[in-house]
Amino acid sequence: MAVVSSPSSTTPDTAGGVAAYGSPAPPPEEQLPKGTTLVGTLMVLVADAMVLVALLAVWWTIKGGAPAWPPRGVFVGTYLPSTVTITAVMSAFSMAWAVSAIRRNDQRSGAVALVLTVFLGLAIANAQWYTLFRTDFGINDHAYGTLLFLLIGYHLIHQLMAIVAVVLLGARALAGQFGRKGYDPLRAAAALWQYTVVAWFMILTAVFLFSPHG
Amino acid sequence: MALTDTSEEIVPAPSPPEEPSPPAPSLGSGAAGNDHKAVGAGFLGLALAFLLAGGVLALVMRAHLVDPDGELLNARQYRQLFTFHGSILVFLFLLPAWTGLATAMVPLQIGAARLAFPRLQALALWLTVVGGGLMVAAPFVDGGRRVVSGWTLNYPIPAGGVFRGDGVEYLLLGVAIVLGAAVLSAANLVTTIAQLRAPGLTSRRIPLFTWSVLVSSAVMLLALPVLMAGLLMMFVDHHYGTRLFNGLTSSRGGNPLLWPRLFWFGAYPMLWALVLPALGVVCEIVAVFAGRPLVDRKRAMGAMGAIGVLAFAGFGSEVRNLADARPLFAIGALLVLAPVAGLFLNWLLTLRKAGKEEGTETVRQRLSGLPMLFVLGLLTVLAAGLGASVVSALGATTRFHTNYWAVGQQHLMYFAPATIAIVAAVHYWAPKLWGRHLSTGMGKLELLLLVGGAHLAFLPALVLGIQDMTIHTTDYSADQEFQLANWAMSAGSAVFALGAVLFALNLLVSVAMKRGRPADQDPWGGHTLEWFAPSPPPRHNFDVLPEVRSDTPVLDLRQGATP
Repeated sequence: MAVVSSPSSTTPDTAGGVAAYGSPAPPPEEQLPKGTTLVGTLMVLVADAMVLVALLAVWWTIKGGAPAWPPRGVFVGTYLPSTVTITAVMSAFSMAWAVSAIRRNDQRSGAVALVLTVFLGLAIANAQWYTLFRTDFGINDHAYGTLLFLLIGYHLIHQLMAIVAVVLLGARALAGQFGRKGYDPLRAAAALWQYTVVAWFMILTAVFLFSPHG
Repeated sequence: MALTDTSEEIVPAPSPPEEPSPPAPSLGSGAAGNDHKAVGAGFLGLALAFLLAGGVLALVMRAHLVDPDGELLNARQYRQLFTFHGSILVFLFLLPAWTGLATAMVPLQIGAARLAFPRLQALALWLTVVGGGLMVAAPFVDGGRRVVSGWTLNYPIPAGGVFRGDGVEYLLLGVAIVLGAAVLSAANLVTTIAQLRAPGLTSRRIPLFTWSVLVSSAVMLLALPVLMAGLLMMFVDHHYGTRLFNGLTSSRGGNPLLWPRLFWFGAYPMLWALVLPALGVVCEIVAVFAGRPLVDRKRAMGAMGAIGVLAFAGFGSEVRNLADARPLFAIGALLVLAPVAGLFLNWLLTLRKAGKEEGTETVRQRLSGLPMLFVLGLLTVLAAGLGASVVSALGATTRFHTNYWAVGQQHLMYFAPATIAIVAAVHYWAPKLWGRHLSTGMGKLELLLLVGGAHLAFLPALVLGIQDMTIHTTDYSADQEFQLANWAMSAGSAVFALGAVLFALNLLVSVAMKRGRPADQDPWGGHTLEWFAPSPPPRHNFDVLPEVRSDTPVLDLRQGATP
């Protein structure tokens, strides 16, 4: 192994000063570059979406081979999913409103929008829970029921996680920790929130729009 | 990140201020804090322990098969070992080993002080421990006798029956948790590479190991969740008595063809994601020991990216019952090999060009460095793996996916190159991470045992494939002419295992017991930023960063102001 002179063995050039050999390394506890929390959250959400894609792929495959889908006598109804859809769309707008208000340092509008968002989210979670609660079949009665429970359960869990994230980061926002300079964690929570809306539309398409259910 | 275009000369870097370096993070100290080097070492220690465990299982299986009508194990025990051998080595050795190396090295390579989310990485480590614990517990709990599927984890609930006991549930949950940890760490690594690169380190200048980690992590982010969803559904089938993976009761049931498709959609790209960092390590070591950048660095990056994309195109080649689509998947499985071959050519041309530039003698002398010797050995295994994979992918006969040809192909293409690359990478980066060289003498012995063992163990598997010994065979009779190749496989796996044990001992003695030769800041004449940090690096990695004007900032510094 030929030994080549390593950087440490070269003579320091004091005349060059710091500028000559580049920037001083950032201290470790320095704030992350702008957008890092958001990028990380988006990466996890991409992976998360693949779980939903897999569940939906299974849904379409089993549906394709089933003699009747949903099985005869199974009734879910359209009232609750319609309610969830409308509420989800409203919550997407109120979440976007909250983020833009906090960015403008408008704490008062931010507070209204955040409370509204959390309220709408709780309404969605309640409706989903009720959908599962009032079905007249169980998770193990047929594949349709299993997948319905899994898909709505997937959405419900994400909705609850999003509510927790928005409550925690909303509180930090209202305490004045975010503003024009940095509101990255709040944007990350908002990304999770908007993902629950997207996920709901994917589930809605498969489960309710493309599967007539009386 | 924009490169600041200053006209001033690159001035040789002054040595970073001398300061007492903190104690090096030791193996297994992942719990110590949020230092990415310690967490990475924790992952590596865990992986190494499971390499030895999975190896012991393999040895027991090979001892059983060394003679016809072996009586060491009954069929059930053999299948159980078979299952845990595969699951442990893939999910608890290869996966955490690469996660560990990436966790430790990526921030250093890109000139960052930390990971984007250090606590997330520590969480991933602990999740791996929990998932691994569940997997290891699976054969010992109630119903553990039924965990016999092989690593494809196909456990449909029998029609009209139930699957008794918790063993399968433990295994499914354990694997899902380990995969979840891998997804979190992949997201963390991608974010770190995207956001925390040193000024001037543009995306085209990313070091090739870091690039391979980026591609591998992206593949994992897309592939592993599908496998996790499959495991979740299989778990629900077992826990709640649903029937998604059994179509026999058509009014209630699902589709028995689903599981293999879901599994291989996740597992096939995952296998490539576990080979990709090995290719990245080879790129690093070849460039450094040739004393010049790769001849075609851009194409090397492109090739690794192409492997990441094409890995998804070939998944169906492993799925039976996909008859109509088989030709398409065969093309995918074949295409993914092309960029690997391209990289191979790139490495060889780099060595040739270095020989022309500096004289064959100088380069030959440099190539005797231990990490480079590992790489040369690895290339012989990879060449065999590529050949075996071409035959598998051509799909001349589907037998080669169900007999020992598949064992040989998977071990020569995925397991052995990845394992040898991990050993090479630890030899290469140990001086940086822990400030101590591993023993070179022991290293050479490891190299002989690992490379020789890989050839001796896995080439005869190809012979058994041609003789058509099926993959789950638990016994064979004396008149089947399988004995010679089986004997060679058993001997080879013992040799390979000895190499792994020596490697563990080497780490223990040289690093953990600090007997290794203390290392300079840049013992190999490196090219990338990690070699600018002190050995071992302080907690924040760099006191000062050199100006990055190319993909080889440290090489630039060494060559002075000459462009």
